[in-house]
Amino acid sequence: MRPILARAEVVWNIPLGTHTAAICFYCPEVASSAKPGQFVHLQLAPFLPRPFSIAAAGNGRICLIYQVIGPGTHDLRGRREGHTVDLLGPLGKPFDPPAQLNLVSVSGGVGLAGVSWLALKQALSGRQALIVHGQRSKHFMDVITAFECIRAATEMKGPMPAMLFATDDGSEGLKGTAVDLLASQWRAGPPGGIAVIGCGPRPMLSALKHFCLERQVPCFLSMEERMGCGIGACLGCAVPSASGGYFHVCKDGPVFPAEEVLI
Amino acid sequence: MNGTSGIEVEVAGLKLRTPLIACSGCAGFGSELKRIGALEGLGALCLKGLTLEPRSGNTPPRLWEMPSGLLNSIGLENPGAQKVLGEILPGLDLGIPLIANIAGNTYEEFARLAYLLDSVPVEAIEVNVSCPNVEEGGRIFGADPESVYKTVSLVRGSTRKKLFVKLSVACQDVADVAMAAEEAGADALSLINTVPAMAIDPITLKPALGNVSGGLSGPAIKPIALLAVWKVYRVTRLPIIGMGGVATAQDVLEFMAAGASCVGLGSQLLRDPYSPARIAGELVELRKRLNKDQLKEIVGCAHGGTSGSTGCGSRGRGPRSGTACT
Repeated sequence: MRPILARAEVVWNIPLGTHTAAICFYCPEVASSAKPGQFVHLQLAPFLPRPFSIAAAGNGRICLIYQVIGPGTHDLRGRREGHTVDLLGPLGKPFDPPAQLNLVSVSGGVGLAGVSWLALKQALSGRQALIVHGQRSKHFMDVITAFECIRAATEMKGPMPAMLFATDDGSEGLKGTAVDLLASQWRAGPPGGIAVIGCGPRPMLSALKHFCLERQVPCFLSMEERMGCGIGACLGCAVPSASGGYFHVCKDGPVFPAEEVLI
Repeated sequence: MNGTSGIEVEVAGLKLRTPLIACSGCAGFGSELKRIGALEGLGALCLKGLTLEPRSGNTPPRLWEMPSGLLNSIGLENPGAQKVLGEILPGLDLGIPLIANIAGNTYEEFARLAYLLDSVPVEAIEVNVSCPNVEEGGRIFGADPESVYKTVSLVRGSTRKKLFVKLSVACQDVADVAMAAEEAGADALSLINTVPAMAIDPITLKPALGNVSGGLSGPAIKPIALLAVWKVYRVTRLPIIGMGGVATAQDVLEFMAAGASCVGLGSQLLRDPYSPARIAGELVELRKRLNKDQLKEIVGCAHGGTSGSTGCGSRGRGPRSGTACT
């Protein structure tokens, strides 16, 4: 499905924590063709469009989870119900894990948005899905509220994935990272027949890649890089390939088999 | 855009349905824009910079956004001449004229690339003289009139295609460099290339780009580009493709008034790949409002004297006074 430029209308834009929020757009043209793992480009201040993972889509709606960091995300935080944003999407290649395997999604911070949709869908389809999520503290982002709002907006009805939390400060769940939490679960009893998907800060993805490769578990990573065009024209969003040269996140990714990227 | 919009232009014999050219590096090989239906409004497309051998490009991060523009150091990533000529160009069907863009490490490489491109379906070759000359200590080819003259002469002798020379303002005097390119046989001049710059990451306090330095583009450099177009218009008779921060139809008028026959869209295509169609539509309206049969009638009109006058000024090898040189 080729990407299209659409004028997306804000349905809601709610805070999830001190610097995090979720936003829902009514954008049926893009929502109907989007797949888990893909992203959209939003035209925000000051200059370049901003890429955001699709945290879930359905019912004509597209939901995103974001952290307010620079002028672009400040601009996004200021958009209210009824405001419009020009949105190009869906962009990039979706997740394509082996369908017969159970899914473990491992995320750090707002990287949750990169993996949440596939995990939510997997649980809805009746297969096992586990979300292993880490963030700096309990107050960083209210994940439960995020999922409630996203599921309601996209009309997801059915079972939720199991969820386990870790925080850097120990304010909720295990004190440590999402990969530490995955490792502790593994020590308790290694699961069989799983595929891992991951999204988050680069050091977390690197740790996750090595954890999975050592255990011969299929692992797919959703990568981030500073992006220009979003369509493979400018070659700005380069990530090193394990076989030499570079991939481009917008065109070759954002989802990559872990063994193919050099991180 | 039909044939009677009044915004058609002709640049060095190339007939363009609009005065908007996609700048090299911002439109890939055109298929990326075609896939999202964003070719409308473009008069021509300049292909991704081509080198003799494949290049993997610079260490990331390669992009850094500025308040009014973009810093990039892509590093001429491209699959190399063999693959581009053998696999990519033959399958391209964009419906608009294509311009190849070449970059060499040496004079010989420029000549070789031009020779290879002589037999492929591109209408013109744009010579990027902003790359470092490895035989002369890494100084850019475009830094002085002598090396530009030598580069363009060698390329001229290697191809029958129209030659555009893309100039940088990272030189002593862009007017001198432009005259050297004209003398060596260029058919048109593209100006300006990105402006050398850097950024510091405010969090790490280290260089933001993996390559430390990059090229600044976008609205931040528009006044620099306008001055270069103005100066070059007065000293050569070559058509000028004005580029550097063109984002609106008004920008197009300003560049044409300063002396550009048409303009290049660079960072603007990254910001909004569909903007050429909108800008072209606005240009049709602006032409009518200016009461011109053809938009090209305004080319150089800023040189005609006082503000408000629309008469075109004299150009080419004129006196250097009054060129707004500082």
